[in-house]
Amino acid sequence: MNYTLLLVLQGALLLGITSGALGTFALLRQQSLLGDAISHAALPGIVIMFLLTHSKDPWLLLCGGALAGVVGVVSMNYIVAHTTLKKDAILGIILSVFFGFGLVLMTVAQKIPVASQAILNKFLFGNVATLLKEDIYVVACISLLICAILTLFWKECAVYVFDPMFTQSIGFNVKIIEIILTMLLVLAIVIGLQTVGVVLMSTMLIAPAAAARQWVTKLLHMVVLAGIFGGCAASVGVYASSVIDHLPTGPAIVVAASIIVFFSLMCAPKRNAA
Amino acid sequence: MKNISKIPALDVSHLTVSYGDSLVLSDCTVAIPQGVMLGIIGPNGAGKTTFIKSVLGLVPQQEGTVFICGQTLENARNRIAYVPQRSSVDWDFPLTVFDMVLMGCYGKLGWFKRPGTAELAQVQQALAAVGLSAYADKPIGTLSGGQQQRAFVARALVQDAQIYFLDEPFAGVDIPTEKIIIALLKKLCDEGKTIVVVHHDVLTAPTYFDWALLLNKKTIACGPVELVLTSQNLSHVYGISSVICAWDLKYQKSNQP
Repeated sequence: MNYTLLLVLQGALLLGITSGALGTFALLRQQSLLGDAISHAALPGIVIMFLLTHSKDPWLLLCGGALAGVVGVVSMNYIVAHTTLKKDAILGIILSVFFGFGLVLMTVAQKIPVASQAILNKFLFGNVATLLKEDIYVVACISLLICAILTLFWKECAVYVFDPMFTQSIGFNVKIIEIILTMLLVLAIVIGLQTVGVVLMSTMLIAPAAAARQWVTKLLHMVVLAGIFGGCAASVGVYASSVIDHLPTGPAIVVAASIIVFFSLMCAPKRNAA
Repeated sequence: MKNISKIPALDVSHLTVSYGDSLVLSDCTVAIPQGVMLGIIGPNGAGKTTFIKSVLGLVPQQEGTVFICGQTLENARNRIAYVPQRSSVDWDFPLTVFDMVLMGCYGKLGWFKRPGTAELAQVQQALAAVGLSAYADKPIGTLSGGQQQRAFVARALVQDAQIYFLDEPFAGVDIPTEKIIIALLKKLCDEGKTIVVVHHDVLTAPTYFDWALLLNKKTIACGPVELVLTSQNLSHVYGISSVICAWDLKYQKSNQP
């Protein structure tokens, strides 16, 4: 196994663990679509950042993506508060409007006479071949940060996700908990975009969590197991895309994750779903 | 023996709440003494749940003031226990009964602090009180409706509050559960705690509660149950004579020596 592959596998593993663990909260809050909306909303941010800076630095572009993701969430909450539209409709609107806008901007960016716009394509379906050692350090730092925050606010996040009304009644500021959970989700998505891409990122959040739910009865176990499943899926996908020519990483990871979900649904001990 | 202070457990003045354009509660003024067991009675859509939620600051108040044991809501948080409607949470959540009941101590712990041995012992006691000790390590998804409600009540017991708010605790539960919960609430009440229960059933109200708040978008009457749930008041709220007949029958029966 060569050095580059090893490096890329490390990055994918970290990404898989982080997004799997955080996906648990999105799944349990019945917000599976939220991750999808945030990742699609990140695209115009990435392209605008590119148009402004002409930079090849993926992390600078991803800062733009994170900002746009936050703008997406804020506009979503605004529409929820000021209209009677249902949440799924609003998520659908945000997702497609931001993504469409991002694709239009990408066409504009392709016409710019600089060579670096090729980097934009990798955000669509993900490409780990270009990951550098420094990128892995950034991924590792963000993953550690996410784990630390989650550990610190574990009790608060757990009770809020289970019973928000009760959490508010015992005096916690639920807006702060909500912001923490959303920010963590945005961070996890941002570090995943290079590897999996905008289009398939939500699978990395939802599939490991859905698979883990079949096996466990405690929230902590679910978060840990979802992290393990995410890490496995990401590693397998990355390895497959490195040995098979022209196989984009994102779809390869998604196929691996789907196999884990399928296996879990078939083989996990019967839960008391009835 | 009750050791009851003169300060009202719940002092609500001119409480007004609306959702969008529709007024749900208008100008409710209620004072409830400490140590009573109060039923909030009223037809569907009367604003019973909204009353509790706005008192607890869970839905925004448009106007009005709320004092709990003479304190503002923020200062009284640790004296309050709240049992939401059972249907308000996802019972398929990956959580054991023990861990769910343990959440009752989170409010007193505040941010960052983790529960210790004292809290764990409290949970054991609360589980024993509602008869769920054997289910401590079971996932909450395996509980029946009545057991779910008892687990919710156990979580409130762990909160060790002065005033307990319960939203429809008897909706769709089995008879043993109803009896266990009522006995527990009466015991708390005897210890001087105040109990506020949203209750949909006018017929059982006089046997369960010593005070009643009759609500229909505004306060119709509030006071000792026999003065509030009169046929005149009830016909004013429900407007159905059959309910009143059933009520009078039952009430006369229960008053006979």
